[in-house]
Amino acid sequence: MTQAQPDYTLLTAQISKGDEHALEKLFLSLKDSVFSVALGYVRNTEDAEEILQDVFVEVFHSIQTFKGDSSLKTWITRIAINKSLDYIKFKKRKKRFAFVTSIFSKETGEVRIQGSDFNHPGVVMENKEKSQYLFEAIDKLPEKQRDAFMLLKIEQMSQREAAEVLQVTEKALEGLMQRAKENLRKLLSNIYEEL
Amino acid sequence: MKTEKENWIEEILNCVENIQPVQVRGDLFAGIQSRLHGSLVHLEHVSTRTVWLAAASIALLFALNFAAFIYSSPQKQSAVHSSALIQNSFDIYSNS
Repeated sequence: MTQAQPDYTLLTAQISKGDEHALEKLFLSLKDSVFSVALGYVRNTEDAEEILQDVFVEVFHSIQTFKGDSSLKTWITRIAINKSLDYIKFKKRKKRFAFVTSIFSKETGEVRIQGSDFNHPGVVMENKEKSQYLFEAIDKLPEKQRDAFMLLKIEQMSQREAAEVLQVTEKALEGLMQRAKENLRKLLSNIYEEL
Repeated sequence: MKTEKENWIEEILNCVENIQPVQVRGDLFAGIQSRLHGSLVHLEHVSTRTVWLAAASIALLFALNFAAFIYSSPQKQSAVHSSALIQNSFDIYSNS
């Protein structure tokens, strides 16, 4: 059974007045898709939950800046992607720092970065192992190609929605997707050779 | 005819075709609310007047330090010079 979509225009107006109940309605309506976007990037449930919360805190504080050029869902998805990318950068910095400190001291904070053994909870059981190879290859794609592939294939967004989120034309998105697939084929070919 | 490798690559690329929507706990909203209230408390405490007062204090402190540095520099130099003279006067074992 699909839930009725709330009136996003009304919710936007209510949230901009500081209505937390309206924010909760928006959260319940979009939490799964925002979580899924974050999970696709950070590959860890707890981290994705953290990002999900961050996103809605930011939505509450900066809803006045939403001009309505795109849909509210698109705007929030963009925030989720940016937060996820910031989080990945933060983790990489932390990992580098942990490496440097490990040279001098054994007492370093252990940094948990999910590797290619990530199992996306949405992937059916018989495809779990195969998806690990796919995510390993996705990580090596150029940023825009990776985003295009993630939104269209993992988030299963429509061409129009994904193009809006990435702020490109649908034609450009098609090009990105085509290049992403070509590169994935090459990367998977290398992985196959190493098996 | 496709090779074994090509078939494997196709299988991997298509393994997310029927990916299921992911669901997350609804109780995470409580965490959002606590963060909102935490940040709002901070915002209430810092008024514009306080911000301006803090900025003015910093500017005044900086100006005073700058003035003190400018006016004290020659004195400091002469103090160093006089201490060197005293040191020379009491240095009875040197040849000069």
